[in-house]
Amino acid sequence: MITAETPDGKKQDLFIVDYHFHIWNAAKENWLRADLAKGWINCFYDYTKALSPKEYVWDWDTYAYYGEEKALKDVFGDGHVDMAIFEPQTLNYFYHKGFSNVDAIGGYVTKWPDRLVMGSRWDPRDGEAGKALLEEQVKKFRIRPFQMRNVKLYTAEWKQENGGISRGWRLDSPEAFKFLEKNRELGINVQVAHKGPTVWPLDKDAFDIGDVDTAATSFPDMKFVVTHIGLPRLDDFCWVATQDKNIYAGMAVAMAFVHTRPRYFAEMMANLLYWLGPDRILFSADYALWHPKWVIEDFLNFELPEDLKKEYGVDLTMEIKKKILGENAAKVWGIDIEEQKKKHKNDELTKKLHLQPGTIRIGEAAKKGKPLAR
Amino acid sequence: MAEDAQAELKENVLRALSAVTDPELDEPITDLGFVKELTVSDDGRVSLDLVTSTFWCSPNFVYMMLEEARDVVSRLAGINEVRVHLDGHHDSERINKAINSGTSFADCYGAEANGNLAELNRMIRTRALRSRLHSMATALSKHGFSPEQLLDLSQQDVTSEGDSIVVTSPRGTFAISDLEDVRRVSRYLRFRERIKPSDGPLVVWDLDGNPPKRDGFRSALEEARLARANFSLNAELCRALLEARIGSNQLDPSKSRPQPQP
Repeated sequence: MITAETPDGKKQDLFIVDYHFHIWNAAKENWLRADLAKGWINCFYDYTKALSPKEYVWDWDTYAYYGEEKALKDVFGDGHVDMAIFEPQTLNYFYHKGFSNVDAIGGYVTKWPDRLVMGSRWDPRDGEAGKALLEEQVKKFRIRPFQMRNVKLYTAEWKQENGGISRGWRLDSPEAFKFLEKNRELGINVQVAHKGPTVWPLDKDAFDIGDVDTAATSFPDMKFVVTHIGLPRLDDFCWVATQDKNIYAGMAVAMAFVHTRPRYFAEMMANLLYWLGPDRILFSADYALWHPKWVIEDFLNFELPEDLKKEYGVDLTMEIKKKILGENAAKVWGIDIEEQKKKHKNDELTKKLHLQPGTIRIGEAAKKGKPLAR
Repeated sequence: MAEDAQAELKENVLRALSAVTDPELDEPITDLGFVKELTVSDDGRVSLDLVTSTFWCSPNFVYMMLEEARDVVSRLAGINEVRVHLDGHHDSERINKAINSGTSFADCYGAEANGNLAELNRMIRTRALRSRLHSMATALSKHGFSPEQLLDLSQQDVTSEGDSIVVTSPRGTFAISDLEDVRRVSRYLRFRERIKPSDGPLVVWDLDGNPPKRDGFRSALEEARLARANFSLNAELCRALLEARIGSNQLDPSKSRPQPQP
C-alpha cells in the first residue's frame, strides 16, 4: 500500500488494482507454430522496448518466461500494486500450452486469493464444451466474492476449424450471445473485450467495436471493459462509450505512453475525461509489458497541461488519479477496499515479500510535454 | 540509360511513394520509414521492399497500402515493371503473391473475406479528411476565424503563395506563415483537391464533397478533434514500434544477451 504526498504536504492513501495482468509462457519449448509464436512475443517485446525506460527492458529469455516468483516481486514487491486481475490470452494455435493458460492461473490464484484475481476466457467457437468448462471454473475458483467475475474476450484468436483456419469471431454473433447468457447465469458480469488485427470477415475493420456496442446494449446489466481504450480506434471507442454507460476504458498499453510521450498521453487522457468522465477509466501497467513501478510513479507525477485543461474543460486531479488507479476497478469487480486492506496487513504475501507501506512524493516538476505539431 | 536519368527515375518513384499514406495513420509511408529498400534498374524495373511497424498489422490495411504503392509507381513514365515485397508480416507470403500478380483482396482471401476493401477505405479516408479539417480549423482560428466563418469560405479563398497560405475573406486578407500552420492547412488542401467538386466550399465533411450542417458544426469539430488525436497517437506508436523492431536482434532469440535487471 502506498501513500502519495503532494508538495503542499497533503497525503492520499492509494489502493491500486491492475485490471490486466499476465504471467505468460512464450519460451521456445512452448512454441507450437514457431513463426507465429515468435512473431507474437517479439511484437510484445517491441511494445515494451518502444515505451519503457531503458533500465526496465529485460533480456529476451527472461521476457519470454519470467514465472510466478518474479511476477509477484515486481508487481507487489516493487511495483506498488495491491491487487492484480488476470486476463488470460490462450492463443492455442500458436503455443502448445497456451500463451497464458487458465489452469496455471487457477493455481496462482488458489495460492494468493486476496491478491491475484482469477479471470477466465471463452470462445464462441468452443460451443457447449466451452460453457461446461466455464461452469466448472466458477465452481472451483469462486473462492472469494470477486473471483471468477471476468472473462477476457479476444476476438482475433485463431482457431483450427473444419480442416482450415478461422481467424476471429464477433461478439455480436448468436453463438457469442449464448455465452453472454451463460455468463449472466454464472455471475460473470465483467466482459473484457480485446480486439486484435484479424476478425471474420477480413474485409471488415478488425478494430471496429460495433460488436461490443451491440453486446453492451443487449446486456445492460453487464460491464464491458474495452482493452487498450479501443486503440487504434480511440474515436470509435469514445463515441460508443459515451452512449453505453456500461462500457469502461481499459488503460492497458495506453498507460505506457506516460513516460516517453507525455503529450500524447495528455491528449488521450483529456479525451477520455471529456467523453467518459473520471469513473469509467481503469488502470493497468499490462505487466510484463511494462513494470508497474514506473508506470504508477509517472502517472502520479503527471499533470494535464494548461492548454488542454482549458480546451477540454477537464482536469486530472489526485482524487481522479485515485479512482483510476483502483477505486473504479474495485467497484466493477465488487472488491471491498477496506476489507482487503485489513486482510493484506498480515497476509502471506506481505510476509513473504516483507511488504511495508511506502510514500511517493510527487515532484514539483511534473511531466507535461509540449504541444504537438499536428 | 544514363546514370542521371536513372537517378531521376528513382527520385520520381520516391516522390510518387510519398503520396501513399498508411491509411490507419494518415502519414506518408516514406515518412514512417516503411520503405526499406528501393531499386530502379536502367530498363525501368522497380523492386520495392516494405516493412510494417509490427508483424501483426491488419492484413486489409496493409493490402490497401501495397496496392496503392504498386499503382502509383506503375503509372510513372519509364516504369515497365513493379515488384513489391513486404517483409516480416504474418501474411507476407500470401499478400506478396497476390499484389504482384494483380489479384484483388477478395480473391486473395476467398472465403475469409466478404468482398473487397472499398467500404473500409471510405471509412478510414473519411476520418482522415475530418482529422485534417480539424488541424486546418486550428490554424485558421489563430487568425480569428470562428468555425461558422470557415463554412462561408470557398475552396478558392485559400491559396498557396510561396511559403505562405493566403486567406481571402469578408473580414479581410490574412497570410499564414507559421510553418506548422502552413503544414496544417496544406495537408487539408491536398486532401480537399481530390474531392469533387473542387470549386465548392472549402469545408467538406465527406468524400462526396458534402458540407457539414451549420447547426452542430462545433460538435462535429469535436469529433474531428478526436479523429485527429487517434491518428496522431497511432502514428506515434507505430514510429516507436518500428524503431524498436529494426534496432534489435530479436529475430534470433539465441543471440539475446543478458541485460541489467531493473
